[in-house]
Amino acid sequence: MSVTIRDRIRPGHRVGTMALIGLVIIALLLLLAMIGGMVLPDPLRTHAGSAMQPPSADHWLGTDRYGRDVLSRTVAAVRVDLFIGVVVALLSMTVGSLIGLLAGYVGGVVDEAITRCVDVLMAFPSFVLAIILVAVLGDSVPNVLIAVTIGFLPYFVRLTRVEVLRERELDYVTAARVVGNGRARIALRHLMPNVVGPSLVQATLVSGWAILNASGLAFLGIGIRPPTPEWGVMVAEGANDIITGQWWTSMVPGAMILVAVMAFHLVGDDLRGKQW
Amino acid sequence: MVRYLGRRLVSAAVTVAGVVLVVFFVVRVIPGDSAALRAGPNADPSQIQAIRDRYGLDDPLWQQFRTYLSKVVQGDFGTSMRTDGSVTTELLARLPASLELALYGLAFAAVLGFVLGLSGAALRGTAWDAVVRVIAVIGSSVAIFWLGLLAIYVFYYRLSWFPAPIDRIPLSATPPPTVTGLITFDALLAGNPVLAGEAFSQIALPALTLGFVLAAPITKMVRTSVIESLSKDYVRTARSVGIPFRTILFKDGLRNAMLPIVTTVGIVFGYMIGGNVIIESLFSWPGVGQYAYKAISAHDLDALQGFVIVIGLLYVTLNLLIDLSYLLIDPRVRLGGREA
Amino acid sequence: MVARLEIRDLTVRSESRQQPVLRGVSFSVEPGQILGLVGESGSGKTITGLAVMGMLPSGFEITGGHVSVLGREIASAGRPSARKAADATMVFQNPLGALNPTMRIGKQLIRVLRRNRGLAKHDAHDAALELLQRVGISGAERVLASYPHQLSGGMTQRVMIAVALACDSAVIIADEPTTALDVTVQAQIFDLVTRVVAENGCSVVLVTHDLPAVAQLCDRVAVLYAGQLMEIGDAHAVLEQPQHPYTRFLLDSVTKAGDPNVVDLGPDWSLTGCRYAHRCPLVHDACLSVPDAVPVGPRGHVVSCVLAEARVV
Repeated sequence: MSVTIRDRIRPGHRVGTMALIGLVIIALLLLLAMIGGMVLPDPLRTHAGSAMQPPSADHWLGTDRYGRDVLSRTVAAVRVDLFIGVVVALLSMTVGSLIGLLAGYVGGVVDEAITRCVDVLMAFPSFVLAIILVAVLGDSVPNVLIAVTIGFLPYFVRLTRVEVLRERELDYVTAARVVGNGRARIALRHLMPNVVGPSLVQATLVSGWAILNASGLAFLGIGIRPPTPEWGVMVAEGANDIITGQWWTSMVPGAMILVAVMAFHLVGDDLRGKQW
Repeated sequence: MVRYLGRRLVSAAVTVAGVVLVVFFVVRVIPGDSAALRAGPNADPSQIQAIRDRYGLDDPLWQQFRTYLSKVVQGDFGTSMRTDGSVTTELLARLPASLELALYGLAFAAVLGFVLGLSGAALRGTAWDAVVRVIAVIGSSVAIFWLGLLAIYVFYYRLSWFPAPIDRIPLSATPPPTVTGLITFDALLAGNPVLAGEAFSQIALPALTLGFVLAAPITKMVRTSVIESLSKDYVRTARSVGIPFRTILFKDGLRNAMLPIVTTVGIVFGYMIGGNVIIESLFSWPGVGQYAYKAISAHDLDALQGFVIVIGLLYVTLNLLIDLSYLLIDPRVRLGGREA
Repeated sequence: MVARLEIRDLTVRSESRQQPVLRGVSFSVEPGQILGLVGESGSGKTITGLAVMGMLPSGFEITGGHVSVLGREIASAGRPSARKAADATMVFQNPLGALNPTMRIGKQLIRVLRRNRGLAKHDAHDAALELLQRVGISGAERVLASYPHQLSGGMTQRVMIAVALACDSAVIIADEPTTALDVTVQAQIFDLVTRVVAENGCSVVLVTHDLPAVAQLCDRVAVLYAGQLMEIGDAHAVLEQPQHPYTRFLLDSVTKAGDPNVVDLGPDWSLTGCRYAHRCPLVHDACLSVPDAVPVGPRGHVVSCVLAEARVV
């Protein structure tokens, strides 16, 4: 089919200015993630002598209590947080849509069971769910990925299910069935591309939310732990420095979270149709 | 209407059962060795075995579930490993603090959300509308722990507008007699406006932080729904017969936008419960969120389990209340007839 | 009550088309008169009504001419609408959705009455009852207590007419008031309109494409095509002896006696002269310029066509 996925989301849609800004920011972050390590000083290198320095010519964003350069540590964290955002979004979207496809297409008891499960999962805020899952699974990046992903699964299951319920009555599905296609084939080859639109939009937003949840967990001291450079970890480490007026250790990484999540948000809002 | 109520109640009940089940599954079944997990990294084998005995972790799973279920049904959510106290009792004791915070947070969020959203819709396309949208995006993209930290830094350390974030009332003060559990109200009821004022300034900063973040989705939804309802035909009718714009905005625009707005408020409440853990730990607020935070740090799985169950129940109840409120808001739901 | 609507040389421009969608339209309506404004879809009938109401959608604006009610100018180029509800109101095409679904009918009708007649609550309630009875609704008390979704389409349209009457307007513009309704109900609504005009003495502009209804109800007829007023005059004069090729085409299509030479196309908005030129079987070189309005019969029977022969009235 020559119709692209993009056409299914917003046919003939031109990217708005705000979304463009968002995309540029994401591109810059990706760039930082890739080359940052090469250009900046080592983020893990401690240097007791130059601890807690305010921003200066040597250290553009100052140093933390171990003498680590805040700028390079923040940039190193881009890799971790962006990774989490993108992976969680992709994972929850893929798994969630497949489950939703199953529920909507097969119907009956399977649908009922899946819907009940989704209802139960949605009885918890995604962050609370992530907390207890990480508490139970243990602190590590993969566990954080799993915990946060599970928190967002229900959105995709519901979205896809609704789309499938609507689409499966359409003629092209009937035609595919008449021609003799197996059910799995119909579901995956024919239905899926047509129902995936809203999920893609949701995925951009989830990328941002995943970063918020993961860094929130890190701030509470679970999931991702120091010395791994991650924005939430950095804010937690710098939280006490604020008392003595040393704002850069916690404010800088937190500001980065805002920038990154906002970028995803702008793109997602635009895809969703909210013009600026 | 009765059918609608009945269906919702049954649905809620099933979800509650699911919540109880899932929590057991997560806490007892998933972890490889939950005793070792609870004991922490520094425990020796005898300590771990003591935990196993105490929590019946050696028993077959179905028996563990039976014990768990019979306790939960009676409202007993277990014993906290950290304090040796009943989780239920401790949670209930802390609930008023969290509720008060939630109330003020939601109040700030609602006021801010409605003012911004309504004005954005009424002044759609103007510079103010752009400002509203930017604020909304920032509010939904900001990490609440960072915002709280920033608020403490600016408004406490720098400007001294608010007192130190340590508790619900200043250390030197005595709490008022408990009537509602909400200190600001209880202080007023006890005729002590000074105390009420102090309690209010303690709750202000965390509530404002919470409120700003929660205001974002409310602003968006109010703005979108009001714009939507202002574009409807009945607004055209009202304009054609000379009803002034301000009346139209509230009576026709806002009123008919309430359904999705109320839904959003419910969702926002959900964020709040999650955000509470962070806010309460940051501001040392003695609520259930702080309890959860302490439980996390101590690997106190039973306390966490109780917390999660309570949250789940609160959430289900809230959604039920929202569904019931639809009956009040939309006469089409109440009276049946043609679908909205 | 003296009622009069005067539209002189009204021109409305569309931003998206970069063309006038109404060009030099002029007509007037006397008190107690019903004028039928006819034309195919897209001819500009609804835009005319909206221009009078000062409720043109975004992207449209008045660029020439003016509208007056009772001698007072309410709409003109470059100035915001000065229309009040007492000048003109409109009954819209689709009654469904025309009323606030979360408010009882009574409350909505009463707020219009209180706004426009300055009545106290109790008096407004009585006035509302009286209005509903006037538009032929029995069980008025029950209707006042109902919500919009509980009424049928025909009933709702009656309520909308009552709402318009509550404004005591000099002019009521009825924009295809029966198109969304059943045929049986249509007749009732038309009867109601006639009765209202007779009782009230207001002027009514009936925007419609239903020619038989026009024949039955209207005193005068104005024929619009692509924003240009083609012909206007007494109803029976225009309908029995149409002078404009387009009017003839319209009538023929109703009676199904068509001229095969007439091409059935959509409007060509780029035409600077007569807007019917691309379809007219009698088209001329002279049609490249805007045709004058030529009087062709008694009592203001006017035709915009270069072929029309002026007759001394």
